[in-house]
Amino acid sequence: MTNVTAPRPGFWRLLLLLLRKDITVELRTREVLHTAGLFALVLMTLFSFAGFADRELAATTAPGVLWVAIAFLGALVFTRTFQRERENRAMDGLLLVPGILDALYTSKLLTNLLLLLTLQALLVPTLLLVFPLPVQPPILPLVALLLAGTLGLCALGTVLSAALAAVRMREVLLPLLLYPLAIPLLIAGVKGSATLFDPLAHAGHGDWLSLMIAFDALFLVLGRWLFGEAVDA
Amino acid sequence: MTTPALTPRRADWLVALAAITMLAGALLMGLIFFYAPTEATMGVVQKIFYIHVPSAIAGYLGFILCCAASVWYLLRGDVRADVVARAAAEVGVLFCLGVLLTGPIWARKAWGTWWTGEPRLLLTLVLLLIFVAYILVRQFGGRSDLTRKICAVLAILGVADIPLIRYSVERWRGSHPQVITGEGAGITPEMQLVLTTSFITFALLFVTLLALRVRIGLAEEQADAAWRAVETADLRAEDLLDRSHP
Repeated sequence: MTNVTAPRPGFWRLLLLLLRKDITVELRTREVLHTAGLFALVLMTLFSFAGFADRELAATTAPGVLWVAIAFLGALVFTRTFQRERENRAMDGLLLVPGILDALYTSKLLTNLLLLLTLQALLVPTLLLVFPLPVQPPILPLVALLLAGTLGLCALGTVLSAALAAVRMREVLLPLLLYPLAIPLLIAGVKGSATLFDPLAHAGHGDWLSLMIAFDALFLVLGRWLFGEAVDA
Repeated sequence: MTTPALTPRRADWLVALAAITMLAGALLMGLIFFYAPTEATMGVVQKIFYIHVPSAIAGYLGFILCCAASVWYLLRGDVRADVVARAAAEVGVLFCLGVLLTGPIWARKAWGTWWTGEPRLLLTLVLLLIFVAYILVRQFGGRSDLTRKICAVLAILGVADIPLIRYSVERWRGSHPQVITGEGAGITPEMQLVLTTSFITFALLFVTLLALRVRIGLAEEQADAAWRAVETADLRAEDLLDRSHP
């Protein structure tokens, strides 16, 4: 064995480099933010035409619309992040770096999270504008639900999109797998935000938040393990 | 990759197992239709539960076996474990479909509706969706090592999700989950006998189908390996020819 003279880059250094690369590519092309952002606006318009935004219905339908829209946006974002690495086989190059798996998983997770949260910064105000809610939802609990829900969705989406990146029909298969697996998260999101949107709904978004956190923890741990298996094949 | 050992051309034990399963099935049908008492309030519809409940257990067993074999595959890289995982998933989906077909027929009579948001129902439906998607990935991914790994990942994610799905669909309806137990209440000894027979029959059916599917899977692997061997031999021969006749 030859001695490796160059020092191994540590986790944080790799993570920063990978994150900077992903964010730079996104900021230069804006391919996810522009397309998915417009998609969010189109969705809201569509739901308002479908009659979900009626004054009487708004409080009960808004939570469902919100989380369905987040799930749709998630699928768009997740397919894209690994697609980039598969093009020109950039992934093969990345995997040559020793000990990159942790940093690669974390960087992809954070990129997905960052993109999805940025999109929600557009989605949520639009939703509140389109749907005439009887009360103004409290900001902090809503943000907590969105954060916990998005983190879990990203944990699942990152490992799924990494696994499916080399499979034919991945654009269809990703949502087919992502949505049923994310059902606990979506139910928790819908029911949790319903307690915030509707003054008549019984309180207790806390329980739903803890369900989300349990989901996050489980799929972060499983996701990291299985990510290594799926990428290293 | 290790090539699985050659399977014997004939498996007498499997033929015997299939025959026993068939006889048990015939016996079960006889018991259900002619021996089992007709339940007082539900009438003849109640008898569907001798098919419904064992199917549900067989379905879940299939998914859990798929997950276990997938973990084994990821840890050991044994192709046979992958073949078992695939077989278990397909058999699981089959029984799961049985549950979701027989369930509504019973529910129409018992609850007055074909479909409700009952937790067990929703959990079974979601699991079915997950594992049908799993089979789709198998279909579009081909039989590469990558597909095996991906599918192992999916099976583990799906089964790990069961408790969370169960909890969330239970609470989905509100804080008081309606637990409707039309089944299990007031079973007579005759009913118990039929139910036990049906559990044994379904266990036999599960093992028979699984064994058949695993054998087919192993044969597929061998065919693949043989094909690859022929291809490499071809390439080598061409290479040699090229070298001898420049």
